[in-house]
Amino acid sequence: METHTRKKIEIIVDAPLVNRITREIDQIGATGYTVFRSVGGRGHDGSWREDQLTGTQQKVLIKIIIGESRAEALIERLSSQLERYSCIIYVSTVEVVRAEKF
Amino acid sequence: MSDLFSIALSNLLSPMVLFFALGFVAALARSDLSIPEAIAKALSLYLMLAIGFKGGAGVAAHGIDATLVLTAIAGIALSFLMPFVAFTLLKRMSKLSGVDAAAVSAHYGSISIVTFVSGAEFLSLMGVTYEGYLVAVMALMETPAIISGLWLASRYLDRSDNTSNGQNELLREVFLNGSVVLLIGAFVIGLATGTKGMETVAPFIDAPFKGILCFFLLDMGLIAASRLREARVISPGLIGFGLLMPLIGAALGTAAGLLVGLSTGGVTLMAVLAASASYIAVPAAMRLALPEANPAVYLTLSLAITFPFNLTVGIPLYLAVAQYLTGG
Repeated sequence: METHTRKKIEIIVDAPLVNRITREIDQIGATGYTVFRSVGGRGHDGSWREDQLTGTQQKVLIKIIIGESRAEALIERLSSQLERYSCIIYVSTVEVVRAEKF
Repeated sequence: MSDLFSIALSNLLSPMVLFFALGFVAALARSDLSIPEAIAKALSLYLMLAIGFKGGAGVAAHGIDATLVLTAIAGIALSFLMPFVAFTLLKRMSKLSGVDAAAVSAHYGSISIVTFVSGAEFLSLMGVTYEGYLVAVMALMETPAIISGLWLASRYLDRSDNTSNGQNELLREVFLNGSVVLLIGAFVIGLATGTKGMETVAPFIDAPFKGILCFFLLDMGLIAASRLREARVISPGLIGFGLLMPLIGAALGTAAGLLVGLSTGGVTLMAVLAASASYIAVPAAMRLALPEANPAVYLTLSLAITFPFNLTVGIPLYLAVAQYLTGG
């Protein structure tokens, strides 16, 4: 089966800031993305878990699969915000089946 | 003095405080007791709906008097001003950065709905009445502190990317925050439907209220203790602030309540409102507007230090002082 190389970008960010990130994703013209809830974890500021009341520290994982040039454009846009939003971004190369979808 | 003691005791032995203590101890002992997030959220929404409706129906039954407008003005002024007091204190008592201190200050100018609900429930336990419109005053006090906090923080920030897009998002978060919308909405519905409306929904809004509050406070106890256990950012100076600031706020609230001529219960609740620190509306707004500020600092102070203090010691103390000063 033929597959095509694309970039997968994963972003971990506090729930209230998700709209800011997805707006950037829309602006580079990505066709889609998926948002995942998380249950708990630990980072620079200590442990956090599913944050029952405030939702302020609830972490969310956003996954996007796009072509290389758009991936670079997105990372460029987001990198200026990395420090302020204390979010985590990493990129991997993946093989997709239907090239026209991404 | 024995009066203060008996008031404090009846608070500590109320089911609300005991359930809070149960949650607190369970989390400290690392029990696996936990309340699912969706249920905790629903309980919190229920409390806002019920207290809003009760307040509105109360105003409909007893009518609006002139002190309402004065109380609203006093509440808004308190919410605007208290962040400046908090900020000054924080700068002396802790080593927080300017932005962190500003974010914490906004929380202390704003209010905590559950602290208010617990205070109101304690008053009814003690047979003390209060003005129903204080619920509306509470809703008004939620947001001005955010503006003060952001202003305080702006002096420490070098912002060039403040797009109007981000501003709109923040305004929506501040004024259409779910808790504010539900509280005001339920208040208006209560006001419009009055005693008759209250009779219709009493089985839902009135009868289970105390039990649900206990259930919710159990969760608050769990959250407060787990926050305290995991906190790495809290210094002795910050703990001191978390205990001193509610007392200063309560003194200001008491003075404001006396000045506008509220009843004993009303003065107590003004003190409770001014003493309490937000942990729902303000954290969400701060995370959007001041992502630089560390949420662990403001959430731990507000949820794990000031809330338990107000619930166990603060509320009966504010009532005793109000009774002494109003002679009620």
